[in-house]
Amino acid sequence: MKILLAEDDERMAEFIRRGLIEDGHQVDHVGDGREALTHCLYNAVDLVILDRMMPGMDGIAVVKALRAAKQDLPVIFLTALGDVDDRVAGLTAGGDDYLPKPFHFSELRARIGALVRRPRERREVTELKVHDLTLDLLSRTARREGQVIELLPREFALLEVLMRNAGRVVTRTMLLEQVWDYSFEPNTTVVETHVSRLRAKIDRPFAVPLIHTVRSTGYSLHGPR
Amino acid sequence: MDRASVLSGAPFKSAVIGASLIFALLIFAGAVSFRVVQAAMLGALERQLAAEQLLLADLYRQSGTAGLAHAIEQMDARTEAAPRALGLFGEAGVKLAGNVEAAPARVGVARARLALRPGAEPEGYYVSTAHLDRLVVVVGRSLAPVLAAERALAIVLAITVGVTTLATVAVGYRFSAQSHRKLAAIGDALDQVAGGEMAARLPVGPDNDQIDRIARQINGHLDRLSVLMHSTRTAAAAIAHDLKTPLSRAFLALQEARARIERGEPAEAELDQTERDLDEMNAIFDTMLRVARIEAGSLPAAAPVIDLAPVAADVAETMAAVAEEAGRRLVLETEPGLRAEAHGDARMVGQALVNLIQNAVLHTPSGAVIRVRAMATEEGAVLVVEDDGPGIPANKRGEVLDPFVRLDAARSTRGSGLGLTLVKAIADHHHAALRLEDAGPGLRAVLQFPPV
Repeated sequence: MKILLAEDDERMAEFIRRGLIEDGHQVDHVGDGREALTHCLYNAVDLVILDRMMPGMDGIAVVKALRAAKQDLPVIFLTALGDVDDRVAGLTAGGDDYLPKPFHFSELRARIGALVRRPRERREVTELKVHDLTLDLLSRTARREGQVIELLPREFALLEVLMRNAGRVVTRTMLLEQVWDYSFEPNTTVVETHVSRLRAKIDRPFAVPLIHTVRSTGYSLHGPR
Repeated sequence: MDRASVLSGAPFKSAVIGASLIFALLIFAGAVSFRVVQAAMLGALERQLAAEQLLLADLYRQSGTAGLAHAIEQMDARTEAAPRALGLFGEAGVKLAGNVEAAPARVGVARARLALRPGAEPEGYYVSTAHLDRLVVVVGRSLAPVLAAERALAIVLAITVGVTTLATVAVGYRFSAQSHRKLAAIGDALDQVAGGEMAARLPVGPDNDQIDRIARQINGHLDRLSVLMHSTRTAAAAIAHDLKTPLSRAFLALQEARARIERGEPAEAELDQTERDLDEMNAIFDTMLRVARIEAGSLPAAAPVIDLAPVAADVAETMAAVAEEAGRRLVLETEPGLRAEAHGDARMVGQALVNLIQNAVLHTPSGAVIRVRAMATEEGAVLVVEDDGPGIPANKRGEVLDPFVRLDAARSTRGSGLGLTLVKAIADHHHAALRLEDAGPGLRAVLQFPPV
């Protein structure tokens, strides 16, 4: 993918750039908001990683300008401002994801993966299906091999996120953001506990496990490969 | 005291305006009274003259021209204190009798300046002219009494207007001086505060006028400012300690990692430790920022009414799993179908509950029971998180809400010590009360929301 990285901190930028290149992407780097906007308008870009606080033009203004110019390309915000109000502001302005610093590179990688899928489909889907597991979003029921599985609301939400990102890695942080929206203490076991309960309900009674742990990154839901 | 600023004061200006209005109104009223009195006096004179004209007309009918002329001469001859103007004129204005030199051109009543005695100064007279067949009869009275009365009235009115105006201005000056004094005192006190004397407060007078009320309000704000500054200083001191702990651990772990790498040994564990410590510091910063932001604002007046019962149920569902993993038990004890309403932000209230439950898990031994309840009381909705662990000693319950304070026993456990601070900030934001009580045994944390 052609990625534009707009980040004014040299060291941070270098770290991200190297990681993305190792993953096989082409990376262009700018350190200024106005340059970022210009680059996007005159070059083909698949994804923008945008620092929120930049000289020249701040990230929010850049995204608003891009959206006003009908540029639909995916935008991930990087920011030291991690409060939920900031996240809402970033997403409302037109950003697709919002990653507070400091972050693990694997987190960024997982979120880039999640963004690359077509965003259009998501809204209209009423049923998700992976292997023999179906999730009916209207009636809020889960079925595997035809059997209905009783899920608590949070377990359902957790399964939904995993299924929407089927085949991709979903990090712990992504799950915390999308399923819970509360801040837990750093070494909380909320995610792990709920994943293990989910596994007990949808994996253990059946032959083929669908929920896989990706070491030190997160989880991935997929059928046999 | 600076006269110029008193004169420019609002009370003085209003007094001047008031005085000018009074002045104008009094002048107007005075002019009207003057005219009325004048008209009354002249009216009386007019009636008198009319009566005399009737008398003379009677005389004429009885005694004819000669008799009338004689009577007029007689009347004129008598010296009176107030000489009357008298005159009888025949055809072509020939004078037949009296002391008036010429007949006035028109019939009716008019003022005239006449000299009735030869060589005397002309004086003001009120004169009535009438026709009797071919004769012209003139009768008049001196205006001297009327003029005297007019003069007296004018003097009284002038004195009244003058005194009233001056009195109004003087009162205005006094009030302006008084408020100027008060404002100067307030200005001094505020200078003191700005100069760093946080204990200084504005003087509040006994009058309870507007300035006193504002002074009282400002004192209230200064009290709050003192509290905030105190808690900021306390927090700053606590930060130095509490952030240094994970920071120092991270340093040590990195050095250990370096040493191991030099020896050719794996350093995974040490690097993981460093990462955990940095995560902890990051969480502390995030929470501090959040607390600061919540403290900086307050719930908008239009905050929606939310039902706290489902919020409690939702958090309880999530945390039940966590508590169980940690060997505790969480029980939701809300009555089914209960509505516990409050103005607020569901996310924030949920966060407060999460923090209280996390605290309960952290500070209780394995096997403890944690109860969560939403209740509706007359004083508003109530949320309770209660455990049966060791609890907090009564004398420590106040300070435990200060940022970073942890009780000695808990110092070694993880958790930032900011959890309760965030709960307090959320409570304050919602105008709710946070109470920590003895659950005999254990701790009961109560969030009392104001009624809807």
